[in-house]
Amino acid sequence: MEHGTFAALFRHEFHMDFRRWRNLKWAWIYVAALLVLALAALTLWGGQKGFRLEFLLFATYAFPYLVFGFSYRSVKREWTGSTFGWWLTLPYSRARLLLAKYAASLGQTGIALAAYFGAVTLLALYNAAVHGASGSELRQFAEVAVQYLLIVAFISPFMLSLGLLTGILVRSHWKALLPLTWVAFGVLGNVLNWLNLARNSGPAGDDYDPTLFPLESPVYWLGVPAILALASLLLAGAVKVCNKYLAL
Amino acid sequence: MNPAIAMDRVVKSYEGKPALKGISLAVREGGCFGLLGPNGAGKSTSMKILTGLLEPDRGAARVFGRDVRRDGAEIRRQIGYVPQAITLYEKLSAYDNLVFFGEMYGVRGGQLKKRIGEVLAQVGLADRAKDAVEKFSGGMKRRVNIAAALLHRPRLIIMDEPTVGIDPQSRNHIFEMIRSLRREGATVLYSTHYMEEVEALCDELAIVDRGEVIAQGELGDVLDRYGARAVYLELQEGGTPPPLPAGFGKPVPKERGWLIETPRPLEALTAWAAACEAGSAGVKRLEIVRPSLESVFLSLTGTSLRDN
Repeated sequence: MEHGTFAALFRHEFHMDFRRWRNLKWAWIYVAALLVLALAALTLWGGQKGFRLEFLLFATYAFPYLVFGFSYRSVKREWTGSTFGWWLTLPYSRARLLLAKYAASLGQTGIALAAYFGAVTLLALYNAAVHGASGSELRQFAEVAVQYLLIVAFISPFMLSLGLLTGILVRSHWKALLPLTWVAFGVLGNVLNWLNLARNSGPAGDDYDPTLFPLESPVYWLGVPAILALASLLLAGAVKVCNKYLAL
Repeated sequence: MNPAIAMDRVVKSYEGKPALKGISLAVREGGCFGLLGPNGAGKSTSMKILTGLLEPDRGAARVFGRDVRRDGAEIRRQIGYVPQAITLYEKLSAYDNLVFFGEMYGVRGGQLKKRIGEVLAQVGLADRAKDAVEKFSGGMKRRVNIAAALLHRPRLIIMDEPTVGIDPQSRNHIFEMIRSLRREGATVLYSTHYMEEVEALCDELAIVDRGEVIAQGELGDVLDRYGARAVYLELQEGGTPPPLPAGFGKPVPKERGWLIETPRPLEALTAWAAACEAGSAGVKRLEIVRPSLESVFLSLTGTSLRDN
């Protein structure tokens, strides 16, 4: 039963988020408009000197914030909708309840990343078809895209834990910690920009280097365990606050 | 037999302000137990402790013999909790809400479908199953909320002021449902600040005020023990009643007659009857009045529950 109920909890969380996105009709209008604009821009300027396919990846900078929002909202909706009385009295430990939210937010993150990078790849292929990009250009684009994707994927567990902890702190006796988590959100959510600034000091010109870290960089194999450890720590903190310090 | 609920000197504070000052309760299995008290008395806090929403600072709370701190998840499997605030997903239909609630308690498939039909019929909303909850009145939402708490056939149903702000039709449905739950053998813990609800539904009660239980027991016993006894007199011609001998207090107007509260109601009745006869006053009604919970609360706290 335990396994089945975790699946049910996960499904419930996922379903609630999915339903929310489906109901956000205006958001889909924006997404469609952005795609049309990107296609138009590629058609008009895609072949010009100075245009870099990697510019398509700039929207990735917002991903850590978006990911934070997934988990933060999943907790916040229990407080704002007054459903916490039901949620917290379900016959499961609070660790399990929070893990279900975490897992559902992770699932959403996966879907959002796949959708975004899928769309960007299609746009790059469209550009190549219209303006005849070289194989090396496409290869370089793919390499940079993978770097962006990996960095977002690596930072996501941390941002998800931070979102969950922030959501829990909102309704706790430790509310005073909220400014710290919001500062962490602001600073660490900007990770892609920090990494980019470390390589490019000026505006994106001809000498602009869109690569963040080569895949063999120690950042990946040193940073990832550290990020996962931090994410676990924050998640454990969220469970602790949820168990002991909620203000209900 | 173990009581369904046993709270032993439970203490709980919110940021240093005491909410429960050592509450002890015993609720027998299969009964309907009323928690009566004004807002802020500690009713909701007690219920939140029993459901595991809050942990007590001190003292012990047990449900079906299990400790709420240690066996919270196992206890919650046997509880159906109806919180004070409506706890539903507004955008979902009543049916979809119930599917979620049922699945979370391990009820699935055909069994869940059948059970949803049963509980919706029980709360009188079978024909509105597919409507979004956001279109429902407060009373209807409350009924869906109660239906959700019953899906897994809990042994104990904890209801925190379920009739606040709802229409009379929904209120009647809820009352009927509680009676039917009791017939099925479930235990009900019901909090309210409406005395008439306790009198209509509960066989046992505890009166809670400022974080303390000030009276507890079977309804009749509590009324007998703490209720102010009174004698009511209504004259045929109206007007002021004949005076009673000293020591019986002063009559106060009530409805169409006069009421006198006294610890010696039989003597007062006899004396009033004699006084009426001596003064040739025609008596329309003269009787000993059953004590009310209102008078119990007044005599125990010195204030009216309604004033609170």
